[in-house]
Amino acid sequence: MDNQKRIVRLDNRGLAPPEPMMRILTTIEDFDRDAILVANMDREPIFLFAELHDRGFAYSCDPEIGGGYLLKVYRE
Amino acid sequence: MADPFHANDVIGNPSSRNDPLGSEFALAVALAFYAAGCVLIVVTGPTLGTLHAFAAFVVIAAVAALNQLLPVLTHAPNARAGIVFTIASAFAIGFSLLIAGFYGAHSFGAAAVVLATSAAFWVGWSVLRLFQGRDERRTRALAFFALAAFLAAAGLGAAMAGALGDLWALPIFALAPVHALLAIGGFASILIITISYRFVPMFAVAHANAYGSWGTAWLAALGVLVAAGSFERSPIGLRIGLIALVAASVGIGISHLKTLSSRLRARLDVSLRYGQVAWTFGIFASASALAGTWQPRMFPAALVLAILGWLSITILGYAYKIVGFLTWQGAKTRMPTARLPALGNAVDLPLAYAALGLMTTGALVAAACTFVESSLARVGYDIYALGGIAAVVAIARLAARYLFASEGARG
Repeated sequence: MDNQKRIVRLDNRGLAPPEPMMRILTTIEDFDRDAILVANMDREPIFLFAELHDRGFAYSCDPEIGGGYLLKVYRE
Repeated sequence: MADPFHANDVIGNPSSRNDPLGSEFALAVALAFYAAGCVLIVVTGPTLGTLHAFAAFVVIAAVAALNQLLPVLTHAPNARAGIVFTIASAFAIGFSLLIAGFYGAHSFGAAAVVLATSAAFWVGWSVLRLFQGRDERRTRALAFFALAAFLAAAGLGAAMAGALGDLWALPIFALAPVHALLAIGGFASILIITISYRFVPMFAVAHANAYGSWGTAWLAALGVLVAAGSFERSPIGLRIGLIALVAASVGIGISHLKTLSSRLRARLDVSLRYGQVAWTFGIFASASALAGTWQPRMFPAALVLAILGWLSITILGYAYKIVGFLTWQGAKTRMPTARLPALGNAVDLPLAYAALGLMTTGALVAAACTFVESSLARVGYDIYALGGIAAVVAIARLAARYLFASEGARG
């Protein structure tokens, strides 16, 4: 069930690259299928996408109305 | 039960992203010039025509790199692919005319006009985008410096090409070494250093604070300025400028090693292996240029180390990452649910490392033989060219894996 998922939030706004990527990769290291990472980003983390793909994670990254991006990451 | 996020399992909103087509085109053109340089160095030797084929490779790769990275790092506005396509095409035409001129065609005048116009437009357009960016003040400042150095180098180059094409009669050829120093040191090297401050930690998955101070980059920039300003006027000034350049390249090399030693990624990828070799060439090249202030025969060897080693191997190394990423991103957008090969496993590593070994050996042999004025330099160029072509083939094969990925491979 979706409401059983563990949501982990990260606010990466104000951080310079590659710190957002480092925080995300460190956070999801022990993620199982019941965990979702939701992160606020200043930039679209383009190099992170391939890292997530190679590690078996799915993701979405959408621009927010007020600026920045909302990234969601979960295990495939 | 369907995952609530799975419907959005694509890489963001394509309309919000820089169109990668322009950068892909520019990188393909740049690699074609690099391959042409490798062929020319075997067929005709290290002529000015060959040298400018490699120059075209560096400049057009820089067009692609800046276009792709500016919006991501600085929030500068995204560019339409058509503009990048036009700039890369204009440089390609200008450099082709220039290279043809060095091989006997009456094209220097046209080359001067096309290259001067292309350089002025690209620099003006890029500076405008840098002003519109709001983040990464240090990245933008160094990029400004690199673009200013490029404009000065391109101006001198166009003036020399115009004089060769009888457009005017300027006594300007004595400034050819300043043109080379500004192009190699002020433009290409500073741009690579700037980009590396962000690329190396991202490629290595390492914290940026391990990558040292930006002061070393400005020391390199200052060294180039002092050396270029002192040329043929103050041998001491030239030497001081080159000492600063050597100190900066060693400092940046140490920072590079610190970053790699603190990385999370277990094994270095192919881009960073190329980077390690290239940074070593960079230190050798700057030290050789400094030694040239005592022993002038070191200057041509420094040129070989800088162009074939430092600049070319760095750009080829980064190209594995950028070409792979852009084509992977394109395939992922076309086929969101296809099971694509992981980028980490997509490079033909035996071919890529064989290419690196050949390029390293060839560049070292060519530089050493150039210094002792031995005709065996030719052997070094042949070995290098073989490695260079192998690297281009490895990058093309990487791109082909995603460009021609099958829809049938759906997960």
